[in-house]
Amino acid sequence: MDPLAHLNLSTNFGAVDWVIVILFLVASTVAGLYAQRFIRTMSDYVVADRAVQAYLGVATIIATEMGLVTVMYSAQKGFTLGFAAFHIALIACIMALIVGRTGFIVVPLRRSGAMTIPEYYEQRYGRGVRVLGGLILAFSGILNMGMFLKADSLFVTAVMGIADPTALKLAMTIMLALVLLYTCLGGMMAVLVTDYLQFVVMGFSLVVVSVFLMLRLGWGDVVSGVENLLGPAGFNPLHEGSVGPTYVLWMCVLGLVSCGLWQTSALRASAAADEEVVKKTFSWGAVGFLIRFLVPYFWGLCALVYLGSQPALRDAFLHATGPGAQEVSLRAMPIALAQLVPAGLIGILTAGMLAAAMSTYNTYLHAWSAVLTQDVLAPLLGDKLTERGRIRFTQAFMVAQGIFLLVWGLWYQLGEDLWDYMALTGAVYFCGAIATLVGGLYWRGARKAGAYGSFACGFLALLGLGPVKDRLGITWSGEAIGLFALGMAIVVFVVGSVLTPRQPGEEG
Amino acid sequence: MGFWKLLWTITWFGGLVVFTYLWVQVTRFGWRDLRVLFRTVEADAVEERPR
Repeated sequence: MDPLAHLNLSTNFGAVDWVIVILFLVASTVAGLYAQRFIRTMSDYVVADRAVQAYLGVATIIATEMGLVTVMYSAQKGFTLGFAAFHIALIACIMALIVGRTGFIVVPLRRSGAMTIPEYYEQRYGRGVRVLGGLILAFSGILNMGMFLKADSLFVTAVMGIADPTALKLAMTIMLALVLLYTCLGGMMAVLVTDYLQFVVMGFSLVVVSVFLMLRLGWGDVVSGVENLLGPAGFNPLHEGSVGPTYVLWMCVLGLVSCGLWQTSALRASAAADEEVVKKTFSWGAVGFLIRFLVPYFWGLCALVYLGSQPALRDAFLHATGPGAQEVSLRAMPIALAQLVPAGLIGILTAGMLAAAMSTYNTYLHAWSAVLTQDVLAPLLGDKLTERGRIRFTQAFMVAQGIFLLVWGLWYQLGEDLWDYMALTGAVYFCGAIATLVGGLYWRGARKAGAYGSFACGFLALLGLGPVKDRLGITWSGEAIGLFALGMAIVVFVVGSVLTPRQPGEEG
Repeated sequence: MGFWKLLWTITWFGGLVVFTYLWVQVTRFGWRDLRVLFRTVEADAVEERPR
């Protein structure tokens, strides 16, 4: 049952806003379909003929990494942690800057000529590691993506005031179908064209709505509001009432992973015209990594201050407990914005957020499908697949992912904050990938036995998910389990590499 | 708590200003990059076309 059903939740979303949203959806789809005319080979389809320049690279990396789901889970963190959540944004920015300035991981990866991370595994360790690495990467990524549609639908429901659950599901299915249509047909070219358009709309709405909220609530009042509601823990992440040092360390790992090792970011390195463009894209992309968290954190803590000042809403949002509590905190930001932001501006905000959602769906659908075709299916079939066959299989995987998104989003009950769900499902892949990729790029002694072992350790991260912990009676925090899985993956990788001799097909 | 308030204030306003600048630049030059990309892909396709 909906814990907020008894509240009379109003919205400023009106007819003008509907027109803005529909115009944007039509423009995005037409632009995506237009890109289809440029697709001739698998290289065009997967990495856009490796001809992407820096500014377009920045637009597409920011548009992709800032999905509506990012806005939702970040706003939830802002709502629950206050300003203390800003540490995650700052760490993400610093890590992306380090990767951009030094070229750590991304430059040698670009130099290798690999289109995907598992393709690099084959160059370095052999075909078996590529197939296993590709499977785990796609499994983890698709599981990670499983909550996107649910989070996005919570935003749309609250902002547009859609009460009928069937109408909501229909609306989200249509949006997903539009993205599937142009991504299937246009591949990476469609992703780039629509990402650019979506970056422009999304960036504009992020800045304008943030400035509006500052003027409406007042910066000083927001700071004092957080102080009254959360005390020192609302500012200091190391305070005992906040997340603590283990969590901050876990965020450092995630900061590195999300810009250097996540396939959707790595794909940007592969598609770049040269190594200098890679460095420039990631250095400027650091601003995107900062802002993609910072703005929604701010919106979340504005929601905290606003809802905390409303006697009718305060108890329902600030003191929610039980199985639906995570969903209530997820819905806080869109419900507050629907009441704070005026008609017209809220249409631009919604178009911007739909832009964010679509640009993330298209890249994720494209990235995981490309991995399944290029790195699992093609090697298993002994590279007998034709160019046309590869494109067809990639399209089929995209449609299958779309169906999974619809089913999983309705079935899984969140047992943790959404951001922590994303981190743990992502860890299934990146715990093994950190050791295997970094070891492969920078250590001549890396061996395939170590790679297999470290991939297996990644699955330990699943023990940190709320429903799994409840069933097995595990008391460790999710971040402690994630760090443990990462530590194990590194140890097993080093031991496995040291103890086994070099085999045919391995470099080093 | 003063340190944290100052740090988050600088992070917020600094981040917003830099992002606004980036948005203007990327909107302007990203369009140019997109046209370059179209031309490159089309030129490559002409080169590869069987005669």
